[in-house]
Amino acid sequence: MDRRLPTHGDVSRGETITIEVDGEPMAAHLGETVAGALMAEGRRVFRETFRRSRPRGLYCGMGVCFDCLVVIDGQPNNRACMTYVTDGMKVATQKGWGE
Amino acid sequence: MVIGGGLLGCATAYYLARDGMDVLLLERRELNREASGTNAGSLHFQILRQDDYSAARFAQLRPTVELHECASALWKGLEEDLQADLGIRRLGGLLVAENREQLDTLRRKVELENSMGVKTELVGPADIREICPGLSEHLAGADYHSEEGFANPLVTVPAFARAALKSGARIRLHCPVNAIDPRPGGRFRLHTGTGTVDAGRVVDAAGAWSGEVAEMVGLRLPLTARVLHVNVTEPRPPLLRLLIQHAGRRLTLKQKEQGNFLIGGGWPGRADPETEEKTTTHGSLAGNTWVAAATFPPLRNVRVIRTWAGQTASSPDLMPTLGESRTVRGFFAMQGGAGFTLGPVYGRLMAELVRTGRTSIPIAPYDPERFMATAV
Amino acid sequence: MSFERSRQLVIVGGGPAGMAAAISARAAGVEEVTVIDERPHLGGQIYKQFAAGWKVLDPRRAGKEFVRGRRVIEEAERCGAEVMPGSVVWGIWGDRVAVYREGGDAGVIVAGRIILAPGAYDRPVAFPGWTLPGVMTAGGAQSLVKAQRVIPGRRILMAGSGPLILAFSAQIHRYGANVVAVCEAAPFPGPRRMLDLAAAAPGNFDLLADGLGYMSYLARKRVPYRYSHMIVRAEGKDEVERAVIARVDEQWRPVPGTEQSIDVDTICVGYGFFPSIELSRVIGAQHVYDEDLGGHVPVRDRWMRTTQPGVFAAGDGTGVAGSHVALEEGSIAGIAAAMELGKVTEAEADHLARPKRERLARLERFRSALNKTYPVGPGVYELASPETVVCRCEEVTAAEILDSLVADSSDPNGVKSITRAGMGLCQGRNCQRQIAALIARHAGKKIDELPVFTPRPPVKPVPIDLIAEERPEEAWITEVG
Repeated sequence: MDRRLPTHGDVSRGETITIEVDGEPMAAHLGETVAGALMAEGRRVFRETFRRSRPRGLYCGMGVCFDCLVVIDGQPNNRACMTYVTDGMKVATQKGWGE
Repeated sequence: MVIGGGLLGCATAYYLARDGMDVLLLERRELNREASGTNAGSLHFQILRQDDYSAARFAQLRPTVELHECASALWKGLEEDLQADLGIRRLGGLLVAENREQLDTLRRKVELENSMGVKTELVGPADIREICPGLSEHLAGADYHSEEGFANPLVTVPAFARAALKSGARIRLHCPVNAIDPRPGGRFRLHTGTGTVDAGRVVDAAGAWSGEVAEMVGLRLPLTARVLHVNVTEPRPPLLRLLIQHAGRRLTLKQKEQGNFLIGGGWPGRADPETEEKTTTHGSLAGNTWVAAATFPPLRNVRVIRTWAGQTASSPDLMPTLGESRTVRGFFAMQGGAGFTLGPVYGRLMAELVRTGRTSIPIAPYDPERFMATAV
Repeated sequence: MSFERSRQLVIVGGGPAGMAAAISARAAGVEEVTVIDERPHLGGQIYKQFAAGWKVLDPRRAGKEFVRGRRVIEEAERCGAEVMPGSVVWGIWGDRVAVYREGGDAGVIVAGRIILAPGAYDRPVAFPGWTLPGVMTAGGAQSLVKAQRVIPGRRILMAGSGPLILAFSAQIHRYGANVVAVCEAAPFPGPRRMLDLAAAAPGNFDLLADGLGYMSYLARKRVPYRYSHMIVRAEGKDEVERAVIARVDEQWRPVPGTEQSIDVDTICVGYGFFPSIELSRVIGAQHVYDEDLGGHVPVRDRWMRTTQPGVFAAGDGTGVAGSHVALEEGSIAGIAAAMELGKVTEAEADHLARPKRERLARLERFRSALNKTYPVGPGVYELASPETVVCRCEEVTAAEILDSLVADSSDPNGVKSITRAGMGLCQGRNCQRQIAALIARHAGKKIDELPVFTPRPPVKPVPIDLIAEERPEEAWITEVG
């Protein structure tokens, strides 16, 4: 599912790279944030909350709300909207505080 | 009349009301805002780190062992009593040594503790990491008590307050006591911020301000106030189940059920002398977290999200105060000394004393007039 | 090991206000200027740039703000100020600015003068279902579309108030997002409001023209623009599937019987912004409450000084007024810092600041007119139901918050202690105001009559490995209790 907009020739995206999301490879572009890359593929549920096991995703998009938390290379509590993708980055949806 | 809406005041109010006494609690601001609501919630059952492990010092501490035993039993039934989840976790405590010298001190400490009936044991480096995985490999050993742990001070005091209200006690907030006049028949008239109120008996449970209140009836309760800093981290998956302390550095470390780590140990905070506003310092944050991470290395990439500071106080001998004044009969004082762990016990004993004139545990060592001076 | 440096002027925030402050301070002769920003580049939110690796082929098609932003950014980059990107100011003690760089180093900059320009963030509006994936802030959606060219969903509802949701709706639609409707909480501006706006127009023509342009674009594209309507509920199992909107009165309170369901998968919420006041609070500056500015804002004088000596504040972080105002305020703060550092006399400073004050006055007229057209209604705080999660981080509901009040207390700090609301990673940014609003309503008080959460460093989460440092122990103190 690609929610990347055509750029009408005004800007060109960064180079294509591959990240891993929950063990599966996913294409992304350098210059995208983890949130952007996930949203671009229609993956809007980033984690399950600790207390009530509810789905959460992107809310403020600017690093203030700490809701878009994902596990990156084994470390929990990373803001997907503030982390830029790198080739080979391992992203996982977070359950609670990252069992 | 109970003056002070912290743990001691609310617990006393509860136990008094539960036993049918007519209780009014006066709090100058909001409940649980001072030491009771700003400590790190540790439940101590081994002797705290001392700077003096002499037999004399331990003889002085000996009476408190009975208080701790009583506290241990009380905490076990408290959630049932108060019908509330108090966040109690007692899975053990380790007071660690990082070198030979500290380990030798701990050896002596364990001997003295055991001789007083405190069930601790000395454990070596291999054992401590079995009891508590994740601890630094550079530790030399530890003093272990299997029933130490922590509870949540932020919900404990409100739970006592609610239970007190349910048992018929009354609570007035934003009601500072400014003066106390003696009345005929040994009664007291309290002048508060919102009017006067008379009482047959007064319990001074005003924490760091209990000296100020005592002076209102001409008594002297010498207290040294201290502002202490606590740090809390972001939540993480469960990594630490025990209460960790350090034999040679200021540290308490625990991980709450919600996943946050609480890092304390007595690092100093600051209080504005006029506004009483408490602030935290860069130095305490840096120093306290350094000790915590050196002792428990998984903390290194965990983030601190909050600091706070609370005002606490202690008497010159660092012992609790609990008793009735002989000079001013009907005036009772209670204060400090491992106030969170022993708070419920203090409340119970004070209620017994007020109601019956006697206590089930000897309280002579905690005599409020043991410093033998009254204000002129 | 941590560093300790000293600089004449430290500017916290590299958005319009911060950049303008740097440019003006340098021009007025301040030699050592450092601008610190959390993001990888200057620009802040409004002038958010594409990340490294993206090439802008035709700047004009990237939008007006992009071009305006590039001009300011280039000037800021050329002006001789040091820029610390990817860096977080997490505490300030007196003149000591504590900063860390993620994955890098940490330390303290001892600052001669400090200018706070931290900007603002979208007002968090709690309504049933607001935590479902698919509900996001208008700012977050706009940023996703403009800076990453990704649409947040297939069918988008924009719900909010004011000129920004007009702009955002038109902008993201133009990029290809399917905005199915816009709900504006305020009533359609009647003739009185139109006259106010027109009267404030001189000197603000480009702002007015922008607005009219966006309106006609949306009309041409047949995007329904519903006045006096608000989002009242988001529905769906694990993501948004429907939005329920309702007509509201002038206080923004839903009119019974007017609920309507719209099939959307995305709800962008834009009811204004809150100034980021964590640092201005932590330094002990005095604040006042102004709902139209976004809530508590630091008190300042005509030189942008806060009540704390040595600390200035400018831009949306002092009250939300937009990028044009931020640029002028930032410049004035930069000039004022230069004056206090002895680089220009007061007369020279007055002279340098005059054109900026004139522009500010013109902008202020337009802003007042806008505020009269789009005042924030108290109903924005009344959408949560008892089961609605109000503290997103710790998942505390409105009912839990009110139930926690003991013995007629109305102190949010008590609520925080007992329920954990406000104790999460966002450090209360998303829930503090809503909690205050709930308590205020319950206790019959006004929001600003209640105590705030006690502000203390760190104002952003800070990794232990970056700030831990062995410190000497003075006479140790046993932990009491």
